[in-house]
Amino acid sequence: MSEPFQPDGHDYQDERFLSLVARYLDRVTTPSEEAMLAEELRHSEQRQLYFVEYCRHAAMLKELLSEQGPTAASPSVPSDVTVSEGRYTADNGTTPLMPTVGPPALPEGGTTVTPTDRSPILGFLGDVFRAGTDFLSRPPVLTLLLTIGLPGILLVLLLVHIGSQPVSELPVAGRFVQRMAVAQVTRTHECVWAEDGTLLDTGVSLVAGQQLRLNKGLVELIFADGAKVLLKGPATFDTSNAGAGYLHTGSLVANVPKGSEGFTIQTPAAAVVDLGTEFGVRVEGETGTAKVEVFQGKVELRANAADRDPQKLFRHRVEAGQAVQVEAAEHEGAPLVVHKIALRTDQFVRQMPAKTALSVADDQARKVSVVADFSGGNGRLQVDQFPGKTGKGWMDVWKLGQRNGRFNVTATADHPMGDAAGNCLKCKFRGTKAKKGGHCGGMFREYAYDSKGNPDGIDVTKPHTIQYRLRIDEPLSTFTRFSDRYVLVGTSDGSAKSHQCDSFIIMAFGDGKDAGKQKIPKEAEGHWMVYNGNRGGSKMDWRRFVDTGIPLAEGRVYDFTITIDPATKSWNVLISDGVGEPFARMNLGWRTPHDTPGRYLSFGVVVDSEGDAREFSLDSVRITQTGPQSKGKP
Amino acid sequence: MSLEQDQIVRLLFVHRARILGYIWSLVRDFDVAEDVFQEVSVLALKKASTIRDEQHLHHWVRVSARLISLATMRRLGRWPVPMDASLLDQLDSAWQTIETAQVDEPLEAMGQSLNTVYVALSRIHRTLRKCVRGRLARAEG
Repeated sequence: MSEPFQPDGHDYQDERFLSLVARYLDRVTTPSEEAMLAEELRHSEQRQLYFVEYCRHAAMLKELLSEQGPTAASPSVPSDVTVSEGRYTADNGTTPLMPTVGPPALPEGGTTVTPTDRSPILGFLGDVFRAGTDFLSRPPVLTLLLTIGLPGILLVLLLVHIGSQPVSELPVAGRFVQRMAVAQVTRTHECVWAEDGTLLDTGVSLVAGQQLRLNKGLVELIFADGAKVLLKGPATFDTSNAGAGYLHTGSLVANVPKGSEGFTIQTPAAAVVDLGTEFGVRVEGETGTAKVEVFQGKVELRANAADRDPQKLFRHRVEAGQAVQVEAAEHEGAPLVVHKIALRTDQFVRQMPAKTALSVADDQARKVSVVADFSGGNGRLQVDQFPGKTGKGWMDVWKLGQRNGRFNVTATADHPMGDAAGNCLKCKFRGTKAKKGGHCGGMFREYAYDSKGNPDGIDVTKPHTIQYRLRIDEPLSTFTRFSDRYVLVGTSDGSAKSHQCDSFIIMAFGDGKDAGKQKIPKEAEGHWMVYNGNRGGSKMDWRRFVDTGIPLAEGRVYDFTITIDPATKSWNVLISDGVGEPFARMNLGWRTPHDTPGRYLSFGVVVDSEGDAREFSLDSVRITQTGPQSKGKP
Repeated sequence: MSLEQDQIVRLLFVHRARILGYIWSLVRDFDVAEDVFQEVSVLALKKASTIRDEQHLHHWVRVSARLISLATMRRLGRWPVPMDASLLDQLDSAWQTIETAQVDEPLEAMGQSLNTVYVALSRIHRTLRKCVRGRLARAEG
């Protein structure tokens, strides 16, 4: 199945054949051309594959443009400027594959078919790409283009569009509307949500069009395009798409990293378009007036109707250190009314208060289903001990797996973690046999109710969020080789290793060069890495690890938030070390091909030699049902 | 053991473009293809209890889509179709091949991370849309 995807293959560039297919789909081929196409298809399997790939891609492109293109999205495009005016205005009353956007070449009435040898798709794309030269000359895009080639980009665009529709699909009015994750809640602080709104936890993914109604507190979101938004309650905010949101009322601060320019905050008064910056926006609920303050860089204000009438663009730039007030437009299409105002930086919160990742207020505001903070110390009489006993959502006690080594695990209050006072679980694994690559150990606990019917557990067939706090307690002086590892996984197999049945995988390696041909980048060594599985249960592919950029360091405390979405076999992750920027990534694939994730939470380590040891502490384990929960088995 | 209706909806959605492409190649009219797709979807939901698993669904949808498409072409008077039954059988094999292809295979082959490509391409997509709007506006003016 590799040939159809070869971007540089000679046959893929056979414009005559593709043009013939495009014309065939538009029903503008002559009978002799149709016979020729049938003959070519009949005698070439490769042509058959190209044909079906082309049909699929064309259908995707057609849908993309019809959903978001001018005829669907822009009322200012007159009804008579439609695809029916295209070069292939058809005698059959059908919509041609691509609109021809140049001057109409048809007689009045547009009923004459004027076939041409030029493929509508290829010609259209040529026009578009010439027109987009400025954009394409940007370094990242140019690099991408040079790397994989223009045809490859088109293929991948379409394939990615299919392959990354992860979150939910809702039947609406007889048609199905796709919704995909566009942002993630990365941190919250003392949040009180509107009673009729959705209660959102850290780690929850937000889909396009989702509304946040925050009465009080702070929420940090990271958009898929990379922009970070800190929303302050009371506020009402919609996530529009991966690079835009709509602030109905309230205030926010947007921080847009380099490469994510163009991030847009829409308000009732104007659109605030980022040009590489940090800015604040405040919308007054009653008047719709927007106050915009730029802390760094600059933004451009655009009248809300500007997109609908390119001849009447109303724009206003605001530079760093400036503040303006934009009045709500009196009518659609009205120009901006902008006044300069004094800076009121104190009205905006630009930083999330420290120690908010696992705040008490948030715990009270949400239902925490399964908890382990080792408050009971060591023993088998209480659930929250080590190894504990079954109950309160835990299906079993903590168990140890060890091969050629020895685990020492104890709950202790001697060295509390961060602001989480009380006990934590101190773990040390030491290799005891001289066996290359074979010293591994782990501890794990089952939290799902599906096997034993405890209704307090987590329904793993529904979305749920796993959080825990982990500290590295070793100097890392012996964490130097490929077989020195930390392995944090969700798995179906209660053991200490990573398996093909794992859902999420977080790992750290001492050295990546022994990963064979699939070498792990040097710069990722000693960092936490997350695995973007192919949902196929295949052999571990080291190239699928994504470097978080967060290094392991002795004494450092890491907060992990992992959201499991069984519907799409995906997981989201947020890792924060309290030092640098947190790492957030959405829509990572599971490793397992199964429809449900594992029931075990596992913390594993590997040492590379006898006497070598891994040391870490664990605390604040919380597993929360974040989707609708079904009843457990009786 | 059969698929639940919501599983069928989800799968139809995930594979919508491929199924639409398949139907479009038969009916050669995208609007008609969308209608046929709806018809197939409704039928699949009605027959959910008889569809065993995902693989069965793929096969079932292909067969149903072909039958409904050809019946539609007859009804619309667009008959005969340029491709005969034996060629459609051959093409069915090709469609079956791409049903099993992994979405991220080409990304692996290119050494690109999914996210990197996705972000870059979402920008390209926006530019494409902007270009189309601009050209239409000029054509209008």
